[in-house]
Amino acid sequence: MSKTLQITVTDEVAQQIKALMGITGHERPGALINLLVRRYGQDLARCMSGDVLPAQDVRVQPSPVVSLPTPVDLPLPHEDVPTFQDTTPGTAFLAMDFDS
Amino acid sequence: MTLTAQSINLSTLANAKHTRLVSFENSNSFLKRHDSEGSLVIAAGHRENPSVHAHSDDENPIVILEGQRPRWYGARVCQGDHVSNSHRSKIETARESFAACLRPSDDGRDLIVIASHWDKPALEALKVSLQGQYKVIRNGVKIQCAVTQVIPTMEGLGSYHSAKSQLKDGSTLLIELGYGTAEIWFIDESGQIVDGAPVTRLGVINLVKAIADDPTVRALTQDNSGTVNLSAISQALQQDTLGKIGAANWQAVKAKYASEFLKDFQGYLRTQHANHLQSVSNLVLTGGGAALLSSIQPKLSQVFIVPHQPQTASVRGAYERQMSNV
Repeated sequence: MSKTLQITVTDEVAQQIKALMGITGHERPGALINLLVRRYGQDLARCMSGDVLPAQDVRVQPSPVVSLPTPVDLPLPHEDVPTFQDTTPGTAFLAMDFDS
Repeated sequence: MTLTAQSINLSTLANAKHTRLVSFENSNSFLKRHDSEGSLVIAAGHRENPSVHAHSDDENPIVILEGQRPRWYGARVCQGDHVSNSHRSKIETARESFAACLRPSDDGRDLIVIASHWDKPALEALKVSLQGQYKVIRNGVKIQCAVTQVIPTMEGLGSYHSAKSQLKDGSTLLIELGYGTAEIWFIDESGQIVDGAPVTRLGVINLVKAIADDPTVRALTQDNSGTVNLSAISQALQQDTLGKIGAANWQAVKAKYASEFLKDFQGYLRTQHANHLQSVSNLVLTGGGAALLSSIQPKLSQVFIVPHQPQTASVRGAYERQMSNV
């Protein structure tokens, strides 16, 4: 049974994910992150830096995306890999801060 | 090409002399009409027996429906003492409200009216209420016409049609933000309503009342009896100033209370519709409140699709949806 994992990331990380999506052609961050988590687990941070990411896996050469400032704490690869829940417009609305 | 029974009927009638397709929405706050001549929006309040000085026009018409006293409708009347539609059922007011929306060019015609209501069981009663002959004097012009057919439709579907070209594949949460109430509709990817209901606490009137209770606003806008004119605040929400309150202060007041209103909006959706929010591909915000809130809080455009001219999106969409069946 798949589980849903919601990940909150800093704006900087979000920008890096977006940049990587632009290169790989993934339309949803969840799809890209699922792939990275499934294959690389805790190596995700290094994957995103581009230095260990095999080109055939996500159809890219090492990307111009800069290294993450700190490793992201994600679960180890496992057969029952949690499914990342994409941000929907609905959840994005609920997360909006109208005071700032 | 396959035509449905209803579209054959419409197609035939569209060619017949004198027949016109009209979309009509009898909201408690605004009467809305759309047809081949365009849209008409009239504030849904009236005063009986207006004085000879009452200035009438298309959006503030003086209407005499056979057997009734003259009524002056529109925003000018609603600024002062008036009879509001908000405490009467839409079925009860449908006929007189539609009469207020007739055009001189309706004279001598048969009309097919697409009429919407949020309550499915009420659609049949709405149909009965609207059908029949109309003898009206509107702004001094005699209009005689007949509503020969009423096509009832669920509210929400018109707006959905208006926003359709902007939607991604998947389901939609559509919020019609009106003055008195909001309606929340869940629409599946085939365009069918699968859930929905009106929600009184999300109507724009709640924002207006909150602003009216603000100490600064109260101090600067109340009359001698201590009353703050809610209609004046409603109108000023779309303007730069309110009475003696200058532009900068008024902007700050609007932003503050719009923020509170939106937080209440978030809270309602979080507690009532969290599951839907996890799955919908589209959020649509429409109705007069959509134009208002998105002008005060630009962040909304990051997550909501707001159709063009949201106040009339529903009535226009219902018309265009029906025409697309012909």
